[in-house]
Formats: sequence, C-alpha cells, structure tokens
Amino acid sequence: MSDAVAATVEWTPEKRRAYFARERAGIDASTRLPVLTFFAASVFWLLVGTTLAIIASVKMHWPEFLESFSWLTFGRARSAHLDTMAYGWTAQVGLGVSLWLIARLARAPLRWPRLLVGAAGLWNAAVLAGAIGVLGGQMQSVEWLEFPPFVAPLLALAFVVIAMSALTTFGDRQEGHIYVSQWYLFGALFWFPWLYVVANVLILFQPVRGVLQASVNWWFAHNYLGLYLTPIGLASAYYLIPKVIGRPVYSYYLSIIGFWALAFFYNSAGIHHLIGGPMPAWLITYSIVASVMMLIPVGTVAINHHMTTVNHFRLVLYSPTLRFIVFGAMSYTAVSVQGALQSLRTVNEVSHFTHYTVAHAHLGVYAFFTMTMFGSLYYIVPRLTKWEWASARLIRLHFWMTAGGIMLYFLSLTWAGWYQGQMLNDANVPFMDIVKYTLPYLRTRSIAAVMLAVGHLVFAYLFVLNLLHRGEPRRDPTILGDVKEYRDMIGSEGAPQ
Amino acid sequence: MHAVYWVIYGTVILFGVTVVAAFVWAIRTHQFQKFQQGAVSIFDPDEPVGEMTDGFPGESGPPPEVLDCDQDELSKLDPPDPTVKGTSIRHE
Amino acid sequence: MSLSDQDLMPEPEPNEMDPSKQRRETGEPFNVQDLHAPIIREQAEPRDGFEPVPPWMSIFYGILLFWGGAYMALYSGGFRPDVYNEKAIYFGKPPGGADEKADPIAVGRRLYTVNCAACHQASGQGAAGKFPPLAGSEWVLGSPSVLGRILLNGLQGPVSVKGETYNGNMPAFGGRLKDDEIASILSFIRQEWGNSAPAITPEQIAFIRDAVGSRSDPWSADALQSLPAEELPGGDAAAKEENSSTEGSTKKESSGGT
Ligand code: HEC
Repeated sequence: MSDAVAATVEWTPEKRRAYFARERAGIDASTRLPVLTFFAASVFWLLVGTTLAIIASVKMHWPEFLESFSWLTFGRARSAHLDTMAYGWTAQVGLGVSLWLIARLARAPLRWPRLLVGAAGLWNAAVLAGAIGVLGGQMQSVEWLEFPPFVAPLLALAFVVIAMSALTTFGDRQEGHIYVSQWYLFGALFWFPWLYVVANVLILFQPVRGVLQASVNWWFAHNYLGLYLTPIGLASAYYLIPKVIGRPVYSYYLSIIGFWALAFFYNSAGIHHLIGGPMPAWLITYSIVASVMMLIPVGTVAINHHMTTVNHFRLVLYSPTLRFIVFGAMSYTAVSVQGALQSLRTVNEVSHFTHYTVAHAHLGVYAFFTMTMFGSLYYIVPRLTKWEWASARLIRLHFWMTAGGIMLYFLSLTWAGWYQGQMLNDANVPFMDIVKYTLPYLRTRSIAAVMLAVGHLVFAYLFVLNLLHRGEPRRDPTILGDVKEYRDMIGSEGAPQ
Repeated sequence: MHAVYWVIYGTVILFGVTVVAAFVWAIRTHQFQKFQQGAVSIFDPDEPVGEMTDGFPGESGPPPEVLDCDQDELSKLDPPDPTVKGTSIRHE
Repeated sequence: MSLSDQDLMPEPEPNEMDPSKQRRETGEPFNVQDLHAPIIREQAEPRDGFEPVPPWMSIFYGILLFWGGAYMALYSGGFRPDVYNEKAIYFGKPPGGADEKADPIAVGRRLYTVNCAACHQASGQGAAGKFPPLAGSEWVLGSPSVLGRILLNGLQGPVSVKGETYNGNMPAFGGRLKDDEIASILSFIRQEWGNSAPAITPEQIAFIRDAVGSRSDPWSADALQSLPAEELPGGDAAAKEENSSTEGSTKKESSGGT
C-alpha cells in the first residue's frame, strides 16, 4: 500500500527537501537520550580529568603541593588522570558521536535508546569505581589498565551492549552505500572489545609471564589510540568536513585505501614502546616497520582532508565545527608523521623515557582526538537539544584556549624532552642537572594545563546552557523539523521508505 | 593446552575470519564501486552539495561564492528519490 | 483509502524549512573582505568524489614498502626468539654464540671491505707500484704503535714495503672511525691472508690517539721509524691471551718490525 501511496505523491523539489529534513530530524531525535547522556557524562569526566591533570602537572615542579593527601600523590593522580580521560572522557564522547553517526549514516532510528542509557550508567559506575580504586591505592601496575580488575568485566559488558545496538541499527539501514565513516566506526566498535578483553585476560586474569606481559600491555595501550580513538576521530572528520563545507570528500577512493591500510598496519605498531627492551629483535623491528608504514593511511587521509578543504579554508571563520575539526585533522597528520619518525631506533634512543613522548601522546589524544570531538559536539548537540549555542564569543574563547594551550604544551615538552633525552644519554651529565634543565618547561606545561582547563570550563558552561535551553532562542540552520511530526508520518501510514 | 593459548589463538582466528568476511561482503555488495556516488551519499536534497550546514550562533554565514561548488560533476548523478529504499545509491 | 499530499507530507513553513537560506538572502550585506573571495578562488577546484592515488604518492608508498622489507630483512635477528640485538645477525650470519658482542674480526672484515679494499684490494695484495700490500707487510705485522699512527693520521712520502718502495698518499681514518672500529680493522688485517700477529685492542688505539694529540698531518715513514718505544696498555699479556688460539709465532711484536 505504501508503494501505491508513494506513487501518487508528486515529488516536487520542495517536498523532497521537506521529506529528507524531517527524516533526518526524526533520526537525530531517536539518538537524543543516549547520546546526550554519553556527552553529559563525558563532559563531567573531562573536568575531573583536567583537575587531576593540573594536580599531577604542578607536582612535577612543586613536589610539596598537596603533599599531605595520600590520595593525590603523583603516582595516583597521574594514573587517575589518564584513566578518567581515557575511559571517562575519550571513550564516552567517542561512543556518543559514534552512535549519532551510525544512526545518521544508516538513515535509520537508533535502536534500544533506553538500554543504551542503562549501558551508559553501567559504564560510568565502572569508571567511577575504577577512579576511586586508583586514587585509593588499589591500582594495577599496568599502564592504561590501572583500574582494579573487577572494573574490566563491567566496562566490557556495557560496551558489548552498545556495540550490539549500533550493529542492529546498522542492520535497519535504508542507505545502500556504506560510507567510509561507517567502516571506521565498525572497526572501532569491533576492535575495542577485542583489545580490552584480550588485554585484561592476558594481564590480569590469566597472566602471561615475563616480558610477554609488557608486549600485551603496549599492544593494548597503543591500539586503544590507534584502533579505537583514531577511527572514531577520522569517522567524524570524514563525515563532518564534507557535510559542513557542503562538498563531497575529495577522493572517496583514497579514503577506502586509508581505512584498509590502517586496519592492516596499526595493530602491529604498539611494540615500538619497548624499543631497547628485552624483546626478540624481530618483534621490535616488525613493529617499527608497521609504525613507519602508517604513513600510508595517514598520507591518504591528509591529502583527502586537505583537498576537500582547500579553497574553503576561510570557512573556519564561520563554522565552529569546522574550526575544531580542521585543527584536529591537521594534528592527526602531524602526530602520525612524528610517531613514525619516533619509532625509528635512532630517534627512539633519545626520545624514549622523556617528556618528548608525553608531548607526542597529547598531540594525538588532545590536539587530534579531543579537538575533533569538540568540533563534533558543536555540530551534534544543537541538533539533539534543538537549541543553538548560547554565545559565539565563548565558542571562540574555547577554541583559542584549547588550541593555544595544547600548542604551548606540545612545544615546551617536545623541546624539553629532546634535550632531556640527549643529556640522559650522556653519562657525564649529572642527573640533577637534567632535572633542573626541565623545570621551566614543566612550569610552562602547568600554564598550558590551566589554559586548557579554562577552555574546558567554558565548554562545559556552554553545554549546560544548551541542555537547559538557556540563552536567546535563535533560528539557525541546525534546528529543523519536528520529531513528533516525523514519527506520526512514519508511524501512521508507512510513508515512503 | 594452557588457557592462554586458547585466548590468543582463538581471538586471532576469530578476528581473521571477521576481517575476511567483511572484505568479501564489501566486494559482493559493490562497496568498492561507484566511488563518486559513495562520496555524495551523505548529502540529500535538504542538505545538498554547495550548502554549508554549520555556523556560529547569531552570525551571518559566509558569502555565497565561497560555497559555490562545481555542480557539473554532481549533476550527472541521479537525484536521490525518497520513494526508493537506499536512495542515494542504487546497485541492484 | 487515499491520502492527500497534505496528509503525507505536511508542508512546512518556509522559514522553518531553511533559515540558513533565508538568512543568506535577507541578511545584512557582506563586508569588504568578502569581495576578495572570487579572487581567492582563482585556483582551480579539485574534482570531487573520485580521484585516483596521485602518482607521486604511489611512488612514495612503493619506496616505503621497499624500505620496510629491507629493514625487516636486515634487523630481525634471523627471526629467532632468542636474539635480542637487532644487529647480532647481519645478512643471515649467525650470532657469535652466547657472547652478545660481535666478533671483532668479523666486524673488522666488514669495515675493511668498506674502507680499505678499494686501494689495498680484498686480497690484501695492494696494486703494484701504487698501493702497498698488507699481506705479509712488515708494517702490518710490526709495532701496534706505528700501525695505529698510520691509520689515525695517514701516511705520505716514500715507504718501503716488502722490499719495494711506494710513494703515495694513505688517507687518515682517525676522524672517521672510532677506536673500537680501528682496532677491529687492524686485528683483522694482522690475522688475515696468512698474517699472524696479536690482535689490537680499542684501549691501545685510544692510548695512541692520546699520545698523538691534535696532530693532523700525515706521518712519513722516517718519522714513524724514529718513534721512541712506548708501553701500550694491556700490553703483550692481553694480546697474547686473546691470540693464544692462533699461532703464537710473532711474540716479540712490540719493538720489532722495522
Ligand atoms: C686511497 C687509497 C687508500 C686507502 C683507502 C687505504 N690506503 Fe693504506 N695505503 C695507501 C697508500 C698509497 C699507502 C702507501 C703510503 C705511502 O706510500 O706513503 C698505504 C699504506 C698503508 C699501510 C702501510 C704500508 C703497508 O702496506 O703495510 C698500511 C698498514 C695501510 N695502508 C693500511 C690501510 C688500512 C687498514 C686501510 C683501511 C682503513 C687503508 N690502508 C686504506 C692507500 C690507501
């Protein structure tokens, strides 16, 4: 019957337009509850993680700071910072963006929104328990897996529920073509549980022995960035850059090559964290080669995003989303090229065990991933809350604080780290001299951390205003259609599918 | 055999099989064809190529000429038809 | 039952439909800077959607893959689980037993091929009238102090080797090679082609380098021959100890040779 109905409708361009606007609004609405839950929780953890970051950073050059609190010793604050940022902020904001993108790209409403909210609750309870465990001294001595062991099954369970919902939504898709972002997202959703479960089993529950633990550890930790955060960041860039600018990605062909090359090489790269360690030489060499080969997918992504934006760079003046995401995409290229060079033995001899590595990690997780996520949130949130951002000036402040902060952070630590590494390699330089040399740079890092914190507070403020529908009501391109009407339309008569 | 080996080999095999399956599926559903249409599958008549979809709140958008895109290439593609499932790109 | 278009698709209010369009049409005039947009756009627009991999990129990827293969082949320790030093196995040669350090003679052979063979030949026979032989040369088998100096600073002017006089220019290697590398080369040439003299240690070369100081001119054969005898570290004992497996025929090396 619906076919008959559809056939009777005369599809004028305006009606087509209206049809798609409404369909999109309905799909966005179906993701509202779970996605906003993930976003709200992730913004909360972002603030927690930032606080811990400042504490850890200040302690590096002012050891007496908060010295009487055993919960906030450097070792605990630093690890709690890493874990709340990793599992509280990046993982959750990534999940929110993924779910929204998956529904949109499938052109189908998100499945099981309430169950997803439950999964979000479970995830956050687990992160909270884990963070308290770390601060309270129950930490595991495995980087990136510091949470007490009981947390892992909870996180894994929550994640599997989320991935199932995403897959089912994908199964409902109306769109025949799988856009490149979907490849990345399914990669991320499929890879994370695999990585997380295997790493936890092999390190915490059925521990393998000796250096094998270290190799599993770094296989996991590096892949958390490479096979979970990176695909989500890229998926979002691949969708939002073309969408915001209003022109298709330069070469779809390159983007597909990029995806498969990433899937092929990244998984092997993590062992480069153990260069110089007691690992069979071939394993390290293999990981170095894989790391350098990452230039292939990175090159394709860089060219693609650059050529899509070229001649349109001025649009960053007009779009907050584009501004953050272009910054993120450029940082992705930078961090990947740096990473490939850093994995070479001769460079690694100097950079390993120094602040240089810390700067590199933040270039990846912050300048690339976090900035891309900020950009995505600027695009997604108004479409879910049906409310425009309260202030353009605050958005600009947010951008300059975070972009400036992370650049300051990166430059000071990279510089300090490189010289630190050279001095460490010179047996004639007394250790205390090296420590003293790095002090001014560590102070600079704390200043950068404060700048980032200001940016985050501004963003959290904007986000809360938006959730509460505060500020001047505005009619802007982001607010379109009405969910209820869409539902009625679909529901009552099985409108054209 | 120690449980650890089951975990390692099991996941490696599982993973490998999924990758191969995904790749075969992608080829059989023509995901590696018609790249140009793939690239425009995220646009629709309401958010068409050539229109910016984001801006600072309360500010005027960019001048229209910045958004002009070469429409020639794209006009050769079928416009999406809402009455057909999988509208932006049709294979079968 | 039939539905009107209106039922199926409620016509939206025009301004709700696309405020952006509307804003663009009715909005305030654009500022002066915007007038530059057409100029900025002079550059050709890239085509959208399908662009093949640019050729230079394919070439770059090819080079990368080649590098990756070569690196894997050279530095993988023969893919053995018990080899931790990526340089321990080079071109498929097995590692030198339990000892992690590479065999100095093997290193010496490699360095000789790279640095010396062009003139003195792989056979160590030199080239008649131009480059003196190393095989059987009294300079090679003689005092380490003299030999070390030749390598560090080079040799110029007439020199007689195995009864023949040469007058050429032997380059200095002191700036290019490290002590242990020079020691390996010298140990190698003292024990190859039927030569048999005790190995030379890096400490001895370091000692000589010290004694030579900042001298940068090449030596002449005469100057070397009139050198006062010097006591090298580790001396005979160490050298003999290390060399005891090979023939110990030339034991009074320190002062002999000239
Ligand atoms: C550019 C050509 C050249 C290279 C390379 C070279 N030599 Fe020589 N070498 C000479 C010449 C020419 C003489 C003779 C110098 C003279 O006549 O004053 C000489 C002399 C010598 C002598 C003393 C004469 C003898 O035969 O015993 C030794 C020992 C020697 N070279 C060792 C080496 C070693 C070891 C290397 C590699 C590290 C090397 N040379 C590289 C050209 C070269």
